[in-house]
Amino acid sequence: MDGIFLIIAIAYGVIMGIGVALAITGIILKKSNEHGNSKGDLYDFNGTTMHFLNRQQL
Amino acid sequence: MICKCPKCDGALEYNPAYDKMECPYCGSAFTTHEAMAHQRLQDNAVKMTAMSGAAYENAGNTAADSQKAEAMNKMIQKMIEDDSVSVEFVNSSGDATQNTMECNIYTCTACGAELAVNGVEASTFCAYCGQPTIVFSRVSRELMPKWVLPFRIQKDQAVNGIREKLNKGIFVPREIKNFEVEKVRGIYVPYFLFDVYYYDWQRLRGTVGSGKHKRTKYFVREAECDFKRITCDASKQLNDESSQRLEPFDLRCIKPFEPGYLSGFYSDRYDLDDKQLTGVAVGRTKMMFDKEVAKTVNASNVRIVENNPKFQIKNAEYALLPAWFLTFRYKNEPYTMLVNGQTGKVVGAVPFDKAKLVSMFVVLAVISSIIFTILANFFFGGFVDLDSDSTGDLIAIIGAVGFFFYATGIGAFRSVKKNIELTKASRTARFVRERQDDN
Repeated sequence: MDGIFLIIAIAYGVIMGIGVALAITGIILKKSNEHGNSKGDLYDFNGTTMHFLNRQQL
Repeated sequence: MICKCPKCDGALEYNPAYDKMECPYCGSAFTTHEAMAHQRLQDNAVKMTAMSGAAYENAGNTAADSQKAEAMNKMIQKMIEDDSVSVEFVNSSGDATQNTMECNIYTCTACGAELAVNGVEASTFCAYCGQPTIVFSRVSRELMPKWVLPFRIQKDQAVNGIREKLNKGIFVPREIKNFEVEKVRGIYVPYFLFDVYYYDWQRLRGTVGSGKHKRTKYFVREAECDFKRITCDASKQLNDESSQRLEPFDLRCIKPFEPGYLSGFYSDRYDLDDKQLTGVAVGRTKMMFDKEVAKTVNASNVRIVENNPKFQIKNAEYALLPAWFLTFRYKNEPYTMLVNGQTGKVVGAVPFDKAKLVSMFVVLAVISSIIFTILANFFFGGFVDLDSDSTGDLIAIIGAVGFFFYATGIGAFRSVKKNIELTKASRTARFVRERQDDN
């Protein structure tokens, strides 16, 4: 029974380890090589008013 | 259009740092208004000399009469300088030149891009695909923009901005970090600025509360808004993803167009007019409108279930907005990075050093695998009772955490890969050709 648990633990460890490595390298790569990815605010609402004619909860 | 220096006749260039036209030969500086006024004066004097010369030649007048004509020209020129008379410039076809301007058009034989170049600058390579396959095509009379957002970022600042970003990147190959500075071009990108009135009645569905108290609620919102100057990129050469990433521009600094601002820069030609861009403008307006409406609903997972939108395009104005294009080569492939010419925002993704990336991945994978194996062994080896009711929840949590790691990693890699493709000018060129074929 202990042997099975050990195999499960190793399999789990490897799967999670690869996942974490993938996530960390992905995030570092994104920060390192990709610039201006965030699309800017399309519109600056300063000075423009949204005029609400009706607001209700049904 | 060439603006000549009033002092030495050299070609003036616009300097974004001082918002002035500078002469690279004698160092004099003038406001764009002063430079343009002088240039108009010069153009007018040339026209009048030509007209009077032709009139005297036709009448067979003598050299003495020519001298009189020259004296008269000087007098009229003095009157123009003193604002005693107003002069209207009319081109040979009889159209007022106010709404058009003369440009040299260069065509890239590799990607088909067309660039309008002002002043005396000659183009030697395509700013879009980086190929040296650009040839002078023709002199063209182009629609004059109504607005221009002048460059605030100078070439050196743009290059330094890109260099700074690339040098910080631990996976950026050394060859890219030491890119060739010559291949940087300032381009005014054509945009249409839309004023849109938007109205909508919406029935929205959202979730309120949490856990057992979670409920679905419905809301009604009816609102209207006058959007001013929604930016829509009017160039086929620049893909929409890249142009949207260049934003935002601070349009409060926009100025009425003067050709002088184009001196020393390229200006891309608009190949999508305001009517073709109407759908894009309304789409962007709708997105912003819906986002603002959703903010007023105090619920999560807000969705529109029914709505009745109405819109009206009130105005569309042609404007030029500034961007720096940096083209470099890596492993024989051209890449183009962009810098917002007003804010300095750098846009683009560059290829990565595979050896470095794999090394880091392997090291991290080994370390984290060992840590997770020890943790798992500790949990499964007695700390957790696998027969208890909470085992199912534990497995679900572990699964979710694992899924989160994989999704984050794969998402990041896919995003970088997609953006590298966008930065690859050959991809841009293919994209341009596809879009041109659509029309």
